[in-house]
Amino acid sequence: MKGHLDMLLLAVLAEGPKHGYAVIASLRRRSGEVFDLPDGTVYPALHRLEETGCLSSEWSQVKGRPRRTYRITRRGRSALGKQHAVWNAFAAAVKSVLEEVRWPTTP
Amino acid sequence: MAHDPLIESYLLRLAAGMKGAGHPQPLLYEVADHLLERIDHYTAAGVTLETARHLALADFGDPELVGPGLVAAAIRTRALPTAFTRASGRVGMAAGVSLLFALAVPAIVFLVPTDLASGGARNENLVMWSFGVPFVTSLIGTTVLAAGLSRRAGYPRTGWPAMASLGVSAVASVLFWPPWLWGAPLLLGLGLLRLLSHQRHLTMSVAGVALALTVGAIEAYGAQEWFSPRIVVIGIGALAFVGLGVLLTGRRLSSEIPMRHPDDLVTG
Repeated sequence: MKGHLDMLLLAVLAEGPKHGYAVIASLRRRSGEVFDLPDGTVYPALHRLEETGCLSSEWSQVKGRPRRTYRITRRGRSALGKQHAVWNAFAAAVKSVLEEVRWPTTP
Repeated sequence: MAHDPLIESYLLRLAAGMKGAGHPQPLLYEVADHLLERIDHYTAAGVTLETARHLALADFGDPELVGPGLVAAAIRTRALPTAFTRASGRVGMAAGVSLLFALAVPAIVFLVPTDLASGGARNENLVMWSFGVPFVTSLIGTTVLAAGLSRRAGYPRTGWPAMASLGVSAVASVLFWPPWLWGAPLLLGLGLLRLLSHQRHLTMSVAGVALALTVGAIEAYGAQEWFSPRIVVIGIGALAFVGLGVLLTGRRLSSEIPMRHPDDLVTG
């Protein structure tokens, strides 16, 4: 998970603008509840992505309280495309290696 | 937001972990919004409110562990948009338009064959007023925009770096004549380093000011003719960049919805 969080967050936000809670909920839902990170660890990653220009954010007033909504930028989409390509190559290589192993049949 | 001692206590512990780190307040609003959304989610699923609160806080993590992770973000976080920053953005838009309008006069006089500049004292006065008034207006408007940008960047704030930067700005404004010409760039400088990554239009203004100052310094050093057509063209081009940058920055700042700061949230 570590090292891939940025790519996953960008992928979730590529669907459309979301606030932090919705990002985490979407990540959890789309991963079939597999990526169940402590909520507090996601916000530093979102802020880091904004700092690097991959995300932008704006504030709005929802239910009487300030809400910060994140949006993927052009740079973010470009970074996501590159990371996706690297991931595909990596996953294909791993799959290729594993396919040549004779696995014991499970009882 | 309703008073919730449990959440407030959690946010205060989180704030304690971010003490001295820039602007934790917007981050705390964000965390509060997240926690309340999580509580709503749990209660909608049939969990009691008291249990939902505890579950939401547990999901977010131990504040003593999560807080340090948010410190870097707090240092970089800007203050929230307010009614003042929005109004200053609108003034900035007007300042940008005013500067571009002011530039049209010397552009026509110096670049287009016309007898406006050589038509006697009356025409010279007309040129000076039609340039001077919008130019001074744009300087005043840019200073207001600069104040809004500085506020959005989180200034004024306590601590010696802020006081030192304000002091340097004040001294520089007095030393370099005319002060009104230097005041706006210096005020902009207060929030500039933090804003450049967020307000990319501002780089146009910075580039324009840098170009104008560089050309001015070169020409002054070489004792060249100040109002040669070449200098006028470069000067108008540089200031047009400044005007466009001010206009777009003002537009961006004025588009942000001002936030009401709930008093019952964290004050720490």
